[in-house]
Amino acid sequence: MSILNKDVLSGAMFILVGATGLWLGQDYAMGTAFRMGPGYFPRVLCGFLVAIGLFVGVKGLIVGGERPEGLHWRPMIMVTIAVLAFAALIGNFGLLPAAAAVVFLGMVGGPEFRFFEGILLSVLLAAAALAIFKFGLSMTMPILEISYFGIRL
Amino acid sequence: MDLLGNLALGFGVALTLQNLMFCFIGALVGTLIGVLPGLGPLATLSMLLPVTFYLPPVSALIMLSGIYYGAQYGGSTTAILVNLPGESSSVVTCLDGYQMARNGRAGAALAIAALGSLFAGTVATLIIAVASPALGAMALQFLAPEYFSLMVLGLVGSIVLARGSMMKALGMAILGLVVGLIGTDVNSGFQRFTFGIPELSDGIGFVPVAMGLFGITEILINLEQKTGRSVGAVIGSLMPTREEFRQAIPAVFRGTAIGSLLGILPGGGALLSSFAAYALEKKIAKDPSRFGRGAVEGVAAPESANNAGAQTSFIPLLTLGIPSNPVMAIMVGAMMIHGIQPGPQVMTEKPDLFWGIIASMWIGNFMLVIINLPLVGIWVRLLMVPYRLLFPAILLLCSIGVYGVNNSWVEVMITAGFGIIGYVFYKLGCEPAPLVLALVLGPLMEENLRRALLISRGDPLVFVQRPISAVLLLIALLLVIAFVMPGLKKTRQEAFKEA
Repeated sequence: MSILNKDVLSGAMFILVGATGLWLGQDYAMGTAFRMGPGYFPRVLCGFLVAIGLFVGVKGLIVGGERPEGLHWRPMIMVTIAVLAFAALIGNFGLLPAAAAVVFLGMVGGPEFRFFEGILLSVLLAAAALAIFKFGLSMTMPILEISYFGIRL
Repeated sequence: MDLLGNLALGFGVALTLQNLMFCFIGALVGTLIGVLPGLGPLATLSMLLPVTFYLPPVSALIMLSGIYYGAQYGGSTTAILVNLPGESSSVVTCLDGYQMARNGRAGAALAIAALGSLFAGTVATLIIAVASPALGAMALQFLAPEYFSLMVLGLVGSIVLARGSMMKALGMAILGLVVGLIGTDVNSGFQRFTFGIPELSDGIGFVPVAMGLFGITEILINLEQKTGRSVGAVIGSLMPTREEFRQAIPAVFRGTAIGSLLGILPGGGALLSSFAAYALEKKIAKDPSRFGRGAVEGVAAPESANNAGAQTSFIPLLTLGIPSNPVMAIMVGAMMIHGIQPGPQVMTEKPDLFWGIIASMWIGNFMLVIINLPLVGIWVRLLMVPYRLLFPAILLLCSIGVYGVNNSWVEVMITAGFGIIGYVFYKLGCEPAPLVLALVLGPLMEENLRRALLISRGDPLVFVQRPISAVLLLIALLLVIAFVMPGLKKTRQEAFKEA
């Protein structure tokens, strides 16, 4: 039993998103039911979301419930960084560095991380990705691009 | 007869060497990835979606359907052998399947699951072939009000059938509708919630959201556990005994019936079908205590049901153009990419595509039996690869998959964001499926609502004055009432509690 149980937090989340939507959309034209403006649907939905959030949250306060389990920060942060690194590298530097980065950084967040195993697997998987997606499926993306040195494959 | 002629046309398309090959590759790759923990049909499909861009439309859809069944089926293999559901609809298969494996009947459990699925798939394919033309003819009379009501029914379905609290599921659906608002308003060209970011003006894509919530989140959840897995048992003889056959056959029939029915329902599909089938078997069994200790019915019924449900959930998509669950939403995406607007007109305008897909469903089911039973040893070996070496590969596949859809690095970033959001949802006990479905349906709903009210000059009664629309809304209302009633509410909770 806890005040900050799953229902209370879920309700807070719904209210937060709904209220943000109402606030951001306050200038959107409302229109009428006959001719709805772009603001009609957002306002109705966000209002509804706030109402549901209140219901879920208040019910959680009254009935109570279990506290959510804690987040595991290390995998969460490293996996996110890994995917963001892929996003940052793929367009400007190409598939090979992006693939190696997502694999290696992801492994840092995984259990029993070993440095050389990480290097080995990222090289292997980057090569496999190159073979499958670039040569096998001819997807359009650069393989390796370092404009500073004028390298472009 | 018309039906036979149509099926012949379909098999003519599906049995060409090229399409047979793509069907096989789809089923094989689908199984391969479906066997991996934490990658269900949805993540598998979105990951492999870009792969099909380079194929002709029929082959692409045939391959995607193959991937879907493969992923679905791969999940049950792991459920039986290692007590690890490869995806959510095989959660119930774990209960008795793994126990059968521990009793030394793993081979029999696999064979029953495979043959039950094949039977269910055959029946469901026939149902699709018979029901689609009739439904499609009705759908041609649909105007904006009917489409809107139908989508309301779909959303309501996904809410009442979601696991956990119904209010939270409703909140998640509304949240999905709100996320769907992001982007350019179709009617006025007005930018909503885009923060001036040009990449957001087309809206948040469905693939990055689904991949984040279902792919990345699953990885994060799996990384919490440190324990390694071990394969439960030797597989043993694949041949079920006479006694096992006797128990399995009626259960397969019942599972097929339940699955076919629940699959058509908006919001339904494989997951609900397997839970409902298991609950029914347990209820009608003479000795319910056998369940959870390796009851053959506990494998046969849910496995048949989820396959039947997986297949009949194509019906709303093929006839009405409306996805009834997130997996079907991916199919909509795939069709649009190939320039096909899903809807009743597909049947008349592209009969080869329509009947080709239906025929390939049956062929795909048949291939699955061939792929799975003799090759089961390979899948087991794949499971022995430790997760710490497996998940980086999954992460890489997800990233490339999302990037490949639009060559957009922004969408990869959105995927990363929704990975965390999905992890928080998981911690809070909020089911993501209604959100994803609402995200797809949201823009369509708004468009049809506004169009309907324009036709009626702002009179909201238009939705109840038109008979088909009124019936659809009535069904939605009945669904809500039925599930709020104390008796059924309890059954619903119990059905999901089995897991």
